[in-house]
Amino acid sequence: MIERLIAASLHQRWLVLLLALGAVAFGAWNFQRLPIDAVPDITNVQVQINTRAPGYSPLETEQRITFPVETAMSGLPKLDYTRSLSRYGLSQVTIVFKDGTDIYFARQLVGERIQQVKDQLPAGVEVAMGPVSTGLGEIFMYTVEAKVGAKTQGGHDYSLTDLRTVQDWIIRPQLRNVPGVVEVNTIGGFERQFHVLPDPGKLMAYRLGFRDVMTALAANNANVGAGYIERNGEQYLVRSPGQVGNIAEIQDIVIGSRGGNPVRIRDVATVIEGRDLRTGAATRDGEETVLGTAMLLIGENSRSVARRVAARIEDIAKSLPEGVVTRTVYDRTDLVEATIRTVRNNLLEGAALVVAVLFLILGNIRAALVTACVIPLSMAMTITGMVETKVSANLMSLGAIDFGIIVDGAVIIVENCLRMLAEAQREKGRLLTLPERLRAIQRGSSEVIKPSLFGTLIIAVVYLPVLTLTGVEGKMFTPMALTVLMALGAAVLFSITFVPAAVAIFVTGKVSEHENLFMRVAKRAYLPLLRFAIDNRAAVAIMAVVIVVASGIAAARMGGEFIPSLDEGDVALASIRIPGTSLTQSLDLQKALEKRIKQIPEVKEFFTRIGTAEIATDPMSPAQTDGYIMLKPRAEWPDPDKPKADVIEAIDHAADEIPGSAYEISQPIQFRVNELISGVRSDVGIKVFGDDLDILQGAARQVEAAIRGIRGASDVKIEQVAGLPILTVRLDRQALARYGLSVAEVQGIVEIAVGGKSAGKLFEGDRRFDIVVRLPEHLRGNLEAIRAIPIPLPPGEEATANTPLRTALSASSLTQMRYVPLSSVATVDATPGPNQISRENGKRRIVVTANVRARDLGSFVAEAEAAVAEKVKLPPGYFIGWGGQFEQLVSATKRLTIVVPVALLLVFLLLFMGMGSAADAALVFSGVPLALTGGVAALLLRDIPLSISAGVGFIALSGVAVLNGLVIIAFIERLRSEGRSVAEAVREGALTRLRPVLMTALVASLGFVPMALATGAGAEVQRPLATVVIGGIISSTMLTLLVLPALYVLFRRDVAREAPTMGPDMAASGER
Amino acid sequence: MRTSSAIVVAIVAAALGAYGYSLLAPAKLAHTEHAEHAEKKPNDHVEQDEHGADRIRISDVKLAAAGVTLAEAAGATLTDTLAFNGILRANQEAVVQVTPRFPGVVKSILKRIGDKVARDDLLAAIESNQSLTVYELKAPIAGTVIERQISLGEYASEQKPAFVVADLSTIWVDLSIYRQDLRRVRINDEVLIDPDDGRGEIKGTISYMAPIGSSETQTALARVVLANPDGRLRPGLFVTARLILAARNVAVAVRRSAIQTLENRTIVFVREDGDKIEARPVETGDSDPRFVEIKAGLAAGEHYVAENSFVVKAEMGKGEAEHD
Repeated sequence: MIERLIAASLHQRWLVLLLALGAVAFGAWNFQRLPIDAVPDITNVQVQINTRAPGYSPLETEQRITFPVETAMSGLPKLDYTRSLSRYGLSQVTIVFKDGTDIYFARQLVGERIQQVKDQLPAGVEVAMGPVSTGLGEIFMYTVEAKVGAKTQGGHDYSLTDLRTVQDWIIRPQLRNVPGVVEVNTIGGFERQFHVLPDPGKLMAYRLGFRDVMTALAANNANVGAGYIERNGEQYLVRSPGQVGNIAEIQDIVIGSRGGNPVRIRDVATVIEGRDLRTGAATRDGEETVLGTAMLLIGENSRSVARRVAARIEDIAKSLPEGVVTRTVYDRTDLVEATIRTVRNNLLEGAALVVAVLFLILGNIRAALVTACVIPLSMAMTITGMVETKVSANLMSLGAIDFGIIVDGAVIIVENCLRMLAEAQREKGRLLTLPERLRAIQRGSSEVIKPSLFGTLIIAVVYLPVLTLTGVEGKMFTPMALTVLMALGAAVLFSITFVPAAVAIFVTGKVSEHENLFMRVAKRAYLPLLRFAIDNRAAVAIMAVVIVVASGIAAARMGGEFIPSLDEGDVALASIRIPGTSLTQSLDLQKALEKRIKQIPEVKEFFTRIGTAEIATDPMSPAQTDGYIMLKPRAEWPDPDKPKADVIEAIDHAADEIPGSAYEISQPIQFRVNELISGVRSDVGIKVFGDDLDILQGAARQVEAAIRGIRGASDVKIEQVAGLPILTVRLDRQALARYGLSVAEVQGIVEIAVGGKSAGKLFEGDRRFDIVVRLPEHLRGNLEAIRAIPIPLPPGEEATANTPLRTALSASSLTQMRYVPLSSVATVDATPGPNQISRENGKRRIVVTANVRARDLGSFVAEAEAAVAEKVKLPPGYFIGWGGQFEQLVSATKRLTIVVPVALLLVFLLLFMGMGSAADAALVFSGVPLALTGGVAALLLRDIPLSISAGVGFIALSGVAVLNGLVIIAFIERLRSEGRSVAEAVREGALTRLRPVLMTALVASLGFVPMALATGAGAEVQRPLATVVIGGIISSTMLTLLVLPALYVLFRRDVAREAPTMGPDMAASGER
Repeated sequence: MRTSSAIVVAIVAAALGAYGYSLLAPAKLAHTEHAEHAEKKPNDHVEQDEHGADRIRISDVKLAAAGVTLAEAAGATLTDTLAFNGILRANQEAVVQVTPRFPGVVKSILKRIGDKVARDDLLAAIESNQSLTVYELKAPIAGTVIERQISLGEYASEQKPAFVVADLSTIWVDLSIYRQDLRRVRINDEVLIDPDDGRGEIKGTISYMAPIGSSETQTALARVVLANPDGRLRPGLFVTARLILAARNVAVAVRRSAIQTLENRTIVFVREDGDKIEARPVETGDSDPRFVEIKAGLAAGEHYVAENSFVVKAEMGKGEAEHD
């Protein structure tokens, strides 16, 4: 079948060429559709339900909102788990679905349940699902600023409120229409509001209450449509506008009348343009600012969307008011382009090296180019495949593509074809005719097609374990394996169709076949070494074992990390302050911090989000901030060679000079992704579940004490759930009864007085602003003022009969002063209360987190489990769960420990099938551990820790190593089947096969060299894999060439045996 | 040959072993931590003394960077004010009702509401029903007509006052004092009355405290008598008043912004020798808008954190803070 395919390709060679061109074109077109990002998106399938509950304390939020929402979500299909967070004014329930669930399906389900639960929620809360975005979604950030000296139309300086209004009503609506942008989030500045500030004394005088003000505002601010009338054949629409449009109109609203005089809002209240009680703020370089973030729709191409956003921002600039500018502070395009540049350079340089090696060894530039053509062809096919399987192009998915390995199959075929052509030419003593060429190529291709396929199959098989990974590591590495498999598949396809056809078309001239200088030198050096190895075979074998054991031990004791992190080029600096830190205080500290950090010469910009943005994708309290430190391009640094780690250290030191905050340094994308994936980001998280917060806290303290003493435990911490100062207005029911007041009345007044209450909206075109009724600042601003909030009393019997004049005369004038201070009906105390309440799967929980240093996670967790079980006594209904990053590490390790041996076994079986002898298969297989030693050594030399990335490198390595061994052993077997002695067969076989072994090795390792040495953005992610492969291939080549023959001589005796079934085929590729 | 090769192998193996070990040792040290949770500062910068008071090491430079300032504890004069609501009333001792002696028909009216009258000015003439003679109603005092209940031709009854004349040159300000403030208000205390007409406050003193309270509002009345030469004060309007409490000298006081609560205790951050700051529990006494009296826990002359004291509290607690 394969031979017929080759024949057909040769026959229709121009068509094949055309089809290949078509594949390239198709690939190029698909490349436009290929989602490109810096790193793979590892966010799980989750839907956030954010509920804003203005004024609710954490306890009320949990009880009235979080609990019903959470309960409604239980039992959803494909649900993995739920977790929730209840904070001041905000409930966030995160529903995590099983991997692979369609996000829109999930949102549909959640949306239905939200509809059902809405009735149970208190009036006035807004339930909304978070945007359809992921941890990589924040692709573009900008600030809205006023130029120095710019004035508004009104002639005053631009205030934060003005800038926020520009953002909300000019920039954001336009930006939201950019295709691929799912949401534009805003933080910072103040939302414009209109505040009606009633004077309680004046209200009293008119015998009016807050409620009357609210009612009046509501009843005098609406437009009404009244249908239409017909008049002389025309239709007239009828409308009656009644909306207020400005402060004066609000002031003129009539509340009631007294003695025929209308009482207007202006008589009892002042109306001003005010600021909202905000939950978050933003700063840049020590000044407050307004920060907008464009969020990427799931599955979109971050680079192209970020570009579109940037272009739209430029457009919008024209429509901004004079003096207002936007300033781009974060653009994902920069990072993506830098990484793509790195990847592209690596691939291009790798390809160039491969072509050079091919030319050097093949000695025929046309043949080398034909072989190299397989690279763009298979890449084009791979891109098409990636688009079809929805694999995005990034550092990881493209990180394992080694053009050397990909062209292996093609190399073998081209080589053999060249040999055949040269032979035929020598026989005929002239240039060949077309049919003769075709025949030679046909023979040359079919002769080696089986070993070529076989080798590719082995390399493909070793990638299978990677496909079984799930969870975060699966999301990182499965695309990588898929891409490699697709590339290998495409390469195979092209090497049996395109390669023969192209050779037939292009390799027309004289084909010489003489060994070039490189090979002659190599052989001369190799021969004595081989002889020495065979003579001292026992010693060589022992040495090999020693090296393998030593590197095994070394590997076991090497530092490990989960996945190398991409250097995003920027720094995220999160400041964490004690619960209860006010927004203003947080802002002050942050401004000081930013000014200090800005003094570091490498820092370009420092901007920060404090607290929660308008859309609560990341619910933080005002005590928490996410800071982004943008570094200058290296060229602008005082010392461009300074390592980034030093800069980070400088930042750390500088931050330490500003007291009052703890800091966490990370990177923007990394930070965001971590926040989304799970609540627990430490190695080990011990979750205590239960009902009562105090008991939970106590239990958590016991757990903390239990694990603190365990060796290896560091950063042991209890989740901060308490410590938020709460002002509790506790009503005295007896006092209320005496005054004839109800609890709700007083609560309503406290609510209006302190927090304010929305009483409709004011429209300015599309823009709409809340009208809020609130007590003037001096009556609500501090503890004493709150205690003195006037509570109006219900009217007494005779009060209504009195005229204002009577008041002046009446002996009991004080009956008119009918209000009491809040403190006479309530006690007002400040007590610490819960800061936040976290729940998981419907239960309250507190997490004790710990990191593990200088010890392996598995044994630490085992010891910790025992210690907790022994020392922590829990009341009934309370239980403990374990989680944290160790779960991922453990699950990945566990899976790999099963699947890797299985894959190796598969390889062994393949070898056995191919060679027909378990002993030979075992010999070939011995190349694997030998190859690994080089990988370990290379890692050690470059001081790179073990990681799953490096692990994947080892996997790829095994495939190449086995192929090397296979090539040699198969040829030796063939020689022996021809009747040579073992020693002779080994010597000759090894020498003959030196060339292909060196070639595959050189091609495969040189293909990775640019990746291993690159320093551009993202290089650190690819480095471990490339390093392992290069080191391993060097060692495996040396060892295959020296140790394998020695082992062969050591273990095989001169026994007449049958030729292995596949041996000749295998060996054929080596006949040169 | 064989033995010698075995020796060579042993030497090579030993060398490799040594090399391997030398590689391992640094590898162990170079254990990388997860970049995701860069090491956080443990809470070891907070220490406790034998009384359980928290201490923290923090330099002046660091404090200055965060805008924290220190001040010396010293004596202070506390002058606090209390705010009250009040109503302007005509001076009831200078309000006179003019009532016809005999019922009759009103023949003429000479004064209207708002007219200023002198003593014995003619107000109206009434024809008595009994005697059918016309008699005059005269102003009993000098003042202003503030009410007129009769009209021309009306039958004026002796049951009902026809005029009210008030002397508005002095005005009563009736303040309602809530129960909890009663003990702090005394006769002769100085009061600043704000009629909220944009013309500033008027100074007065409390001249009367009602011996009884109002059952409905649970307040008691305090009265200020004000002169009203230009008629600025109009009876019936509400006013606010600030009572200046008697100034009090205290031995130790700190600024208000110095007071913090830590673990349910009221504390002041006190600078100790060197770069230490102690969270010192204190007992507070009276206060005014600027200072708080410290009854125990702090001696005069000690330096305490006066402004931005929250930063010190935050620094103390930061080891426990976390990000999620």
